Amino acid sequence: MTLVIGIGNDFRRDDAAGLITVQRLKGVVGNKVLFLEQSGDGALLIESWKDKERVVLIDAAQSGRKPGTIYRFEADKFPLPGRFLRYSTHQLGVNEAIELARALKQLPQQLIVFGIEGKYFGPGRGLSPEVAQSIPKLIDQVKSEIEK
Amino acid sequence: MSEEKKSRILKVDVLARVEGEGALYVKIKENKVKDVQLRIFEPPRFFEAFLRGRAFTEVPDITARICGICPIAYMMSACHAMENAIGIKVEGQLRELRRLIYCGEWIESHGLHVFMLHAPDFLGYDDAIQMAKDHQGIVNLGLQLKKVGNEIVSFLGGREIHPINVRVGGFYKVPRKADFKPLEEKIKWARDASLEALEWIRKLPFPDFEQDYEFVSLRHPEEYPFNEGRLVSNKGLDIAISEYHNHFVEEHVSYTHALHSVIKGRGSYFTGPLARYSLNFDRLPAEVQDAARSAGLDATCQNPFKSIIVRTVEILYALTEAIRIIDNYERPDQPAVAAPPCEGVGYGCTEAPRGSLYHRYQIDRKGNVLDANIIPPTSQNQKQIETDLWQFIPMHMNLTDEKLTWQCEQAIRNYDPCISCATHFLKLEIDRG
Repeated sequence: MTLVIGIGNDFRRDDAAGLITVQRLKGVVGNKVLFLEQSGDGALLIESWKDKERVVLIDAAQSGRKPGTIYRFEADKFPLPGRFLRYSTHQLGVNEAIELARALKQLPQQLIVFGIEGKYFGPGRGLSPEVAQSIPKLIDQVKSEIEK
Repeated sequence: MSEEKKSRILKVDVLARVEGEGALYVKIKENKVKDVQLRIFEPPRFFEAFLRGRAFTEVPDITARICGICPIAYMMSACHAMENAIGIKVEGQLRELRRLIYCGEWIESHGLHVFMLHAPDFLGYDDAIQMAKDHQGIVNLGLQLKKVGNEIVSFLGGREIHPINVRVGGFYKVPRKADFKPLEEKIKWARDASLEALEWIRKLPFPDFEQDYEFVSLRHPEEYPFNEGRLVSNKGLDIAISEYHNHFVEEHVSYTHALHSVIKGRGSYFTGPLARYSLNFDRLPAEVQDAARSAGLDATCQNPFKSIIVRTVEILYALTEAIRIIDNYERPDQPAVAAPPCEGVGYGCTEAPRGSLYHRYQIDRKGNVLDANIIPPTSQNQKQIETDLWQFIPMHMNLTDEKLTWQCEQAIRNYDPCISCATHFLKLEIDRG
């Protein structure tokens, strides 16, 4: 069974995009998959995907491109580009968790990472219009990924 | 210009994006350190303003948001301060459960720092990812230890990152004795694993760097301190928490948003595991003392690089204490004692993983916050970190810029400051003038 993990901080505006996407996906794909919402603590991530065959991870990105842009990476095959995903706390971040798990041979067989470029990451609630507008498209893409 | 006339500037633009931003600037001229500035932009100031007008019962949950790594420390300091303000005391098994959840936080926070952030420095690895390629066993062990800490926090706190089960007066829900069963096995495994880790940590190469610090931490008549005690130092300080502002002062420094905390008339001081250990060695159980001595420590430790050993000893202590608390646990009748509001001023100081965390609140008769003051450990250690660098850099002036930066980074990380969030937090620019 596929595990879908949404990452983010729901008090940091667009940083919540991963969490919100997962919450909405629940209504769309139902109980065909397992869902998990996390803050992005790398050590907990490694623990949660250990021994899983297929994992889809969704997080807000901060790479300087147009807000709302959606990215897809096959993280089981290649490292994510540089500092692509945003740290939400001073933990091991998502990028580090993926590479640490690769070094420890604890990556799932398939790890697909979806990123959505954010605009506002300051304290507060509510997505930017650009991110809010892209979320239905992201949900469609993740849904197709799950059903592959 | 001759080699020694040249000036070197070590400049670190981004220490990390954490709960704010930080940077390091070092200026060396004619082989002498001319300036060291650690710049931290600190969020609790924002929280202090934000808390005014909020109900006293909301403060533990709000302040827990200041830090993703030590929410329990914020919750505990806030709860104790509020209980002090309204004149209640949490005792018995509820008090024990508070110590237990704090054990969990120390284990997870120290576990992350020791194995993922600090150990790679000693072995010359860029980060834990590189280290994991050669030392898979110890990195795995570190992750497992940290996980046990997380499990204690989520078991009592309701969830791992921002616990929701802690309140002024106690908890919302308390476990039954039988609920501890699955956790007990894991804690016992982790206790043995921490001894194994200590054996590995003690063999790391430690720079020779001992300083005459003023250590400050809580000290309790019977216990190794978490939540209660007097604030003491090895240079004569011995005060009740409520006297904090008579002895400590926060100074404005132009280059940083964080205030420098100093002891009046004496200057910088050191808070955190090294201070706690050196002031409370006699409060550790005999078997933990023995393990510390076997790991090469004396009853006090003045070498901040050895803080990695002390943190591992504190992991061992926290696991030992967790086992004791669970063994003696009896479910209390009520999950909390009544906490009716009244006008007052309250003080709380508890031992966060990285040092003493002081809170002071004034509330009105309805329990609304009129004034808040939060002094986190990283702010208190900031001046001491700079003082270390002033001493440390001249001893290593012959190193290349790259190596010197590495060692400065390691020296900063000795304090496990919140700015140590990213393993590559030093971006260096060197100007040879």
